[in-house]
Amino acid sequence: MKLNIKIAFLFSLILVLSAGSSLAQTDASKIAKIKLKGIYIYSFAKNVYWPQDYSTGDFFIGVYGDNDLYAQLNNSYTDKLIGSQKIKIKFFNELDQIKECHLLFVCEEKIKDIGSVRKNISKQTLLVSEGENLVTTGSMINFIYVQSRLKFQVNKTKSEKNDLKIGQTLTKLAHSII
Amino acid sequence: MKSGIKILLFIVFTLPTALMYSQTNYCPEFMLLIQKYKSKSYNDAKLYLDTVMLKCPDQINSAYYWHLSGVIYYDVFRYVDNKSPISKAREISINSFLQSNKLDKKNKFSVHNNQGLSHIATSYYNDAALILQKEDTVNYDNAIVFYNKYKELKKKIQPDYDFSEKDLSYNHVMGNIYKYKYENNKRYYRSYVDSSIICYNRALDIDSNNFETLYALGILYHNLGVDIILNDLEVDADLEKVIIMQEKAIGYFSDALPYLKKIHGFKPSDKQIVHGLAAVYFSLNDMEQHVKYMNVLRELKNQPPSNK
Repeated sequence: MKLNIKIAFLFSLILVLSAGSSLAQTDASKIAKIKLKGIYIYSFAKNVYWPQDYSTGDFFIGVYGDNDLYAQLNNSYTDKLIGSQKIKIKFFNELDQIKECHLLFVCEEKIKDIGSVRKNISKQTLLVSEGENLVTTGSMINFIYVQSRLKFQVNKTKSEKNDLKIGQTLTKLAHSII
Repeated sequence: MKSGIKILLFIVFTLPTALMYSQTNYCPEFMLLIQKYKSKSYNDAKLYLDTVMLKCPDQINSAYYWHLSGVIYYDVFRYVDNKSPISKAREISINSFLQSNKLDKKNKFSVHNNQGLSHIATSYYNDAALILQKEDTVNYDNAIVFYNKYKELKKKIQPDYDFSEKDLSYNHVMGNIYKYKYENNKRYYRSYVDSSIICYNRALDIDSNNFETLYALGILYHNLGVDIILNDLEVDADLEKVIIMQEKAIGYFSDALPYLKKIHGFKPSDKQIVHGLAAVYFSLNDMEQHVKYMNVLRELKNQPPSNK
């Protein structure tokens, strides 16, 4: 009988130990969010069509301000192909560092600079932002969270005005289009 | 345990002569069998049981013969097989005790038979517990077999026994084992997650306020949501797939919340729970709530440790 009690005690000990064994990880969650954003950005690159002049050489994706996203994009997509172009990822921490890209992502912390960014890049750069909405950011694609879900808005009018053709996949799946 | 065995020995050594004469034809081999057992020659005694049956076939209807068979095989299990979980003697001992009970119309052996059965039931429970204690993801199948045998036997000798507490622990630990199994290979062992959730829910069916299980389920659901994005989603996945996977992940994050909220109500100062809640709200992108719980966590960390 004593042994029975001993084992029962062990059982309850397991319960207590197990409770502390697997803590929910904010870091893992953060990485998941970054990965998701990266997949969207890669999809934007695949589903937007640039003018002929931009279809040779490497395909540049720039990240302004978000080092973690840059690392994710760099690890996952460098040298993957967009058509026949190899993807190269660039990171810009300061406004004056920003160079020409096919697609430039401006993170939320740098959104205040977006007006200046627009002036420094060519019109054929697909400007992707994460901000309140397309109108305030003035970008062509904007990330927003709707009921916990990462979604995107598309400014088709502005994109087409700048010779960028938004593919059907994006217009179909966008949260909103203007 | 020791006192139980003493009682068994008492009945083996004191009853034989009288019973042998009164219940069946005299069987000298039976007396020799008792001697063998008495001298602790358990293997000899075990083999001699067959001789007794051969020489005195009417023993097949003797509750005493089967009682003795149960005792001998139980000791073979204990002393010869060193309580090995794969010992066949244990099963034979059970069948012998049960057969004795069946034949024991005058209830002369049933108390002692049940005592023997109870010890064997405990041995099954201990075998299960030793595996579960290690949260052994390789031999857990044996734990299931042993635990079911324990329950089956215990029900026979104590039909109204309340298994709630043991079932709760068993299901909680099995939930952990299946979870670890999944974590060992998240793609290949995906189905173990369902088994884990089923076991945790069985534990909660017994006690809906069980802190450890509520915590485990809350964390499991949250981590499943993260795993979907980190492990199941290819970096070049189509957007349609991304949207579906994101939906699944959000579903898991939402599932995690009620469990963690409930135990936060039980232990508002538990840092792990507050951290868990902050993580879930972060995943749900409810940054207001995330910041709220991160601030709670910061305050808790700044509090001096209690004297308890």
